[in-house]
Amino acid sequence: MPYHVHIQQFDGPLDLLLHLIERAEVDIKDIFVSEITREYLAYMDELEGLDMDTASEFLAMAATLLYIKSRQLLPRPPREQPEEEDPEALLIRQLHEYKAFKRAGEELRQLNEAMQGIFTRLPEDVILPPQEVTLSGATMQELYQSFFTLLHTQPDEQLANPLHQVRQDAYTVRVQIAKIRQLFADKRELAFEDLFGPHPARMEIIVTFMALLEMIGHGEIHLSQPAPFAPIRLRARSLAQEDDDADYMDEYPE
Amino acid sequence: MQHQELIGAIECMLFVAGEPVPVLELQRVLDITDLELNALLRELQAGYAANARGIRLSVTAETAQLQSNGAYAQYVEQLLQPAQQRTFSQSLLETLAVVAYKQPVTRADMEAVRGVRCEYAVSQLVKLNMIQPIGRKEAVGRPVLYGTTDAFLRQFGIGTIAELPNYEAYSKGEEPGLEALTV
Repeated sequence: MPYHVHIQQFDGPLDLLLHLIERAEVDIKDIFVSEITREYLAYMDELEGLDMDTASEFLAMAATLLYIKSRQLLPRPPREQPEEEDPEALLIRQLHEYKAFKRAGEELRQLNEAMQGIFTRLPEDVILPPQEVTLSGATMQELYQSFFTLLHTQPDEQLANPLHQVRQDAYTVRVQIAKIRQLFADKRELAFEDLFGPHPARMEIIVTFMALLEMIGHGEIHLSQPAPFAPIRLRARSLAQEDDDADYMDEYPE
Repeated sequence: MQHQELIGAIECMLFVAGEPVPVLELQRVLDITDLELNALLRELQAGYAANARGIRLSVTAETAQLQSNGAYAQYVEQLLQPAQQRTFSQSLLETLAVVAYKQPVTRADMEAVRGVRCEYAVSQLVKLNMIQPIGRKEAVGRPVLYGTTDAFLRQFGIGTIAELPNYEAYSKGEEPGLEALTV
C-alpha cells in the first residue's frame, strides 16, 4: 500500500500533479492518457483541511483538468481564436517548467549547504580615545567632603570565610513564624523593628519577611502603614498554633 | 604604489572591514581603475585558492570580502561557536530559483511557474535581502520587477549569476539534459 501523502504537504496543484505523475511513472506528456486526472480529483476530498486561497488553487486546477479531459472526449468545435494555446499543451509546458525549477531550487539548496562552513569576520571595534570629563558645579573641596562621608558610612566588611562550609539554614521560615507568634503573646501590636535585634543578619531579615508573608497569607496577622515611609505596624488577627502539616515556602512538600 | 603594496593594501582593508566592501570604495582609496582593481582582486583570489590557505576571497560585481576556507570549518566550530548559517525552506528556494534564473521577473511570472501565490515568498525573500525590486514592467498595472541582490551571490557562494548551476538550461525554463520543448 503506497504511503499516502496528504494534500497539505504539497506546494500547490502543480506539485501534487507532478507527484502523481512520478508515482505513476509516466511521462508528463502522457498525463491525460493515464489515470492522473482521476487520482487528482480524489484529492479534492481533502480540501477542507486547507485555507480558502490554497483550496481554490487546487480547485481551479481540478476544473482545468476536467475541461481538458472533456475536450478529449467530445468532438472539437471549430476554434474561434486559433492563436489561443491548447490548454493541454499549456499544462504540459507548465508542468515541465515547474519540474525544472523544483530541481533548480534543489541545486540552490546544495550551493547554500556548501557555504555552511564558510564564515566571515565581524568588523573591528573601533576603540575611541578616552573622553575628557569636565565637572561643573562642584568644587574640589565638596568632592573631597562627599567622598570622605561615603567612606565612613560604609559598614565594616566581614572577613571572608576562607573555608566554605555547607551549613543548615540558620534561619527558617518555620522558626521565625514561631518567634513572631511568641512576640505576639505579650502584645497585640508590634512594630516591624521589634522583630529584630540591634544588628540583624541579612538572612534573618529576609527570612523574617518571608515569615510575615506566610502569616499574612494565612490571615494570622495584619500589616498596616499609616503613611508612606512611616513605620510598619503588625497586628495579630488569628494566630495559629505550631502546625507540623503546614508547608512553608522554604520547605519541600512532604 | 608598488604592485605588491597594492595587493597588501587591499588585503589589509578587506581584513579590517570584515563586512563586504564595495569595489568602488577600494578603487577610490587606491586611486586605480576598475580594470586594475579587478586584476589585483583576481590575483589575490588565486593566491589564496592555490595553497591550503585558511582564507578565501569572494568577489562579486559590487563587493569583495574575505571569507574562511570551508575545508577548515570543523576547527572553527571546535574553537568558537559561530552563528549558524541561514537555511531556506524548499518552496522559498524554488521561488528564489525562478528569480535567479529568469530575472527580471514579476510576482505574476513567479506564480505562473510555481502554480501558487507567491506573495509570502516574495516578501520573505525581500526581507532576507535575497531579491530586490529593480524596476517596473511596462504592462497593465505596472507590476514590480524583481532581481537578485549582491547578498544573494555571497549567500550561495557565486560571483555572478552566470555561475549558477546549469544556467543556460534553467534560464530557458528547461531541465538540464532535455532538448528544448516544441509545443
